[in-house]
Amino acid sequence: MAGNTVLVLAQKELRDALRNRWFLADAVALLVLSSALSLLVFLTGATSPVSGFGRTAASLVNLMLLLVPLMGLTLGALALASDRERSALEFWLAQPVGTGAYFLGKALGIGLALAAAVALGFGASAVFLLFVGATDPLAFLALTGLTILLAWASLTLGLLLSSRCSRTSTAVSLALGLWLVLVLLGNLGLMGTALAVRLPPSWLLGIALVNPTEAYRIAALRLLAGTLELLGPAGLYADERFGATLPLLLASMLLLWSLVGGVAAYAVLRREVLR
Amino acid sequence: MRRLVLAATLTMLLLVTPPQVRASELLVCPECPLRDIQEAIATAPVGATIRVRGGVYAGPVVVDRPLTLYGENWPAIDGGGQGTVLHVAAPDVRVEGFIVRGSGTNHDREDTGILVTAPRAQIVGNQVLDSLFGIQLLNAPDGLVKGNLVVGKPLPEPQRGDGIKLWYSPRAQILNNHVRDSRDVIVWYSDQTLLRGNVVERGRYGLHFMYSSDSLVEQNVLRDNSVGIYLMYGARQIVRNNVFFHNRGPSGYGLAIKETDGVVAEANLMLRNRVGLYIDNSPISEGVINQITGNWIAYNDVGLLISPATRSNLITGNTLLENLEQAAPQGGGTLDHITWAESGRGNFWSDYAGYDADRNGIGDLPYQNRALSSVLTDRSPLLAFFRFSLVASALDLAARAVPLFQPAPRFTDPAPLVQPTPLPELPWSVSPPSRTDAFLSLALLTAAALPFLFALRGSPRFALAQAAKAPRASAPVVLASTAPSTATAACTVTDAAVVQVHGLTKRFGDRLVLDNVSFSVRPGEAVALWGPNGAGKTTILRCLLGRTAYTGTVTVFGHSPLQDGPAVRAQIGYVPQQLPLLDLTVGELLTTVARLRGEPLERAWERLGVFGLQHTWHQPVRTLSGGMQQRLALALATIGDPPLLLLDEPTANLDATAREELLAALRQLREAGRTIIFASHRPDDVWRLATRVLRLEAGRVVAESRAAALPVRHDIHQSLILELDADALQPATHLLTAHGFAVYREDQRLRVLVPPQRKAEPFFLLARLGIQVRDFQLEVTDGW
Repeated sequence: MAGNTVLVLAQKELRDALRNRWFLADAVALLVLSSALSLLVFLTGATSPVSGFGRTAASLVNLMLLLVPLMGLTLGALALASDRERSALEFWLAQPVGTGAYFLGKALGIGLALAAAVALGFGASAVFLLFVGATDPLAFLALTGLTILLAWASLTLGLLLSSRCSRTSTAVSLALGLWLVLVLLGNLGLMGTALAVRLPPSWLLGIALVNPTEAYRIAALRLLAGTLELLGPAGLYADERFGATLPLLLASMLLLWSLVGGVAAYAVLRREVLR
Repeated sequence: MRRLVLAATLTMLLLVTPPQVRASELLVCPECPLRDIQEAIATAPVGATIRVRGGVYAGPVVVDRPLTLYGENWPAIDGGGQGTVLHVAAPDVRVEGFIVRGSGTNHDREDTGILVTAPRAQIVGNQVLDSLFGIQLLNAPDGLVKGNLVVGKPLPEPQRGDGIKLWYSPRAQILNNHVRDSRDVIVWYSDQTLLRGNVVERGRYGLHFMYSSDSLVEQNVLRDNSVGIYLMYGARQIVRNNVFFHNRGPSGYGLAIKETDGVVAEANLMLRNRVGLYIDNSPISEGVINQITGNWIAYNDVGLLISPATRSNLITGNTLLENLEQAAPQGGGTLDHITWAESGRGNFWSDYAGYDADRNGIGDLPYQNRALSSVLTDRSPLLAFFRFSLVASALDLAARAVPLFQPAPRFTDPAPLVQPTPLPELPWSVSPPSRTDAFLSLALLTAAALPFLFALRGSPRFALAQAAKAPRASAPVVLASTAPSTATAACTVTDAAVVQVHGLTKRFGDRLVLDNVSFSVRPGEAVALWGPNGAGKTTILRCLLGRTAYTGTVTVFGHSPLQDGPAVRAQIGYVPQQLPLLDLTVGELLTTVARLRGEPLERAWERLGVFGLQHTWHQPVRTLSGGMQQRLALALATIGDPPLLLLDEPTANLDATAREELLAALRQLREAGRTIIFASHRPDDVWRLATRVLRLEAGRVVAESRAAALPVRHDIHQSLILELDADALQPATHLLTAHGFAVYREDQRLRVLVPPQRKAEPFFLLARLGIQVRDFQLEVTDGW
């Protein structure tokens, strides 16, 4: 019954996602921008008899870095806080539903919606990119999976923020702040630190990987370019230290982020609903 | 006649005798009289041909006189892992069609597959396998090395020898060889070498020129090496129509030019290398220029990497396509000393953001390279780590927006081309990407649709259609006759108390909300939790639902709501004070709750009909009126026929008509045998619905009475509902309470319980204080 309960709630969340303006706006932005970028790659490649991973294709990684964590964090932040704000949380938890099943259903439903949005964006991009051979199909498929993992890691972080907030405005503000830290301020600080104290490459890599968006960026570049030499000494260190297992390792880190974020969000939510 | 026959026979024999037995040729094979190649060489006259048939022959073999060694069916000369296998020590020797394998591994002796130390040797069509050095020409001018396959020993790269090595061997021709898994192909101290049509892969330096000049290198393929071609310390080298593909080792250059004068690099393709073309301090002599023209430099990490001291290079007419970094000075500085255009024509840059208004093929704005992030990376290579991060993009954007931060351009191409140059003729077929790969996109798009198909499966339309197909499993729903569900495995309904509460205490921080509350509820009772706001009514309901932690004992159907929450709640229908304003439609909400409670959708649909809400099926919940929302909430609470209903101020937000309808429905449910516990501060609700009343004040049960046994309170017969301005609610409450009225706040209204003879008094009291009554309503009650 619990499994069925989770599926029923997940289905409800998926239908809710189709009405969620944030989700729809993000998904459309992802679709349009990734298609536009890929079209640009296509137009460049169409006039060229050679192909490869170029700067335009790399911009796709940049775009994903910008949009996907934003989607995951905001949807996660809205998920629980808006239910609490509208008393929907009380309503659903008055049904024969455990807090765990409610949380799992919510996370699964939104997670699937996010995965669908990412797959849609990548699917549209693939039409252009693969026609000009801008990337290896398997690497592209792996990148899609990796992006979904990033979306899930962001989602569970958003859920964690949301689990303590009873107002959506607070939760979304926190989510936007965290997004800014993850994609920009964290790296800016790290860049400054690297310059100021001359961090060894191994330290730079290690500190950067604490940030899930960085784990994604490095894994994505490794998948698309086949090497991390383009990231300088730290990239070479990563290649040499971890070799071909690096993308797998980084994907595992994203998965770990998802799990840890999810478990923490559930623990906080459980404490909050029993107060 | 006999003599004639003998002469004819001899002539015939002579004619059919194989060539190998001709005087100038010798035949060596495992079954022949001559079984040893070295023995055959010893007996062969100068200029003879030794034909060696398939088989394995022991090395080493030394050719010490001009002759031809011709292998038929790939005879193998095996060195047995010792020394050099085949040594050509005489001029004008041709070796063709052999497998030469198994040299030693000694670097001091330079153990080699085929070693040539004499002029004019021709090494053609051999396979040199498992040898430390493949083919060496040492002081062997005018040699020809053509069509050989050279595969290095399976050793770590630093321990390998060179595939082909030219050492003081000018005018050699190295043609159409395939070298792989060795160290370098070396051309040292050897001028006027021609290298054409070779493939060199998986080595260190594909071709390594040192102190050699006047060479022509064309139509070779250099792939997967650390460096494709490295030109060092020479002059007048021509490198054209070669392919440099995926050379990405520690150096990772396609073509590298170091301190070399007069290089012409034209019409090459440099694709997917770490660095397409690297120029280090070349040319080194005054008055000499290098010409880099007509090349395609595409999809490399860095297209052009040039040391800042480099000058006198003419780089024009090239196509720089999609390199992650198109051109960069090595270690900082600028590339101002490079000539980027000649006769008004520069290079094609795929990231050029200018325009060509006059359509002359030349961009009207110069191409400038001035990204701040690149400049920072030049200064501190560690910062390359941030490539393709948003922080790098943000820095570049900020630098463009604030000119103060914008660095000086690293170089400027004054006449950029707006179209790529034609792809050169290359010894490499550029295969178009497989169109079938694009079907991956269809797979991804399908994958995107799957979750929503999954969601559609749970949609009310789909579920209702499925339900319609299923045979009717139970009697139609009639509100008055709906009996509570019978026993379940988890919670058994018996005549024993449905709810047992003992010593229930709840705190929110320091605030005591429930203080040692105890009561029980038997099946079929309708128990009212009656009291003012803040008395603890809702908290008791939450405890019964297992939705808040508490101390004391609470059992519902014999189970703890905290420990068996979902099972307990399956036996409870809950009506909140207000249904949450969900975006779902009524149909979706009903479907979801029905599925959660395991009720067939067809039955839930009928239940909606009982409450007169079937017409709202497609309507979003938030658009329903207050009365409809509460009826829907009650309909939802009865899904699955739970034996216990909990209602939290069910009529609080309803107008009189809606309230009457809801109370009527609740009374029917009570008559049908449901156990009901409801919280209310409205006495008339309590009188109409309750069979027993628990009066709560400040978290304590202060009175408990059976409704039938309650003394009728004749002093309270009517409720006066006053509508006041928002800021008047508080003082009015205080005033009326001070004059002995029971006053309850209901949103923007006050409900005042008035005895018949004092109905007008509240108006006088409020008027004296200047509080205006905007409207009022008098409700007649059953009285208590």
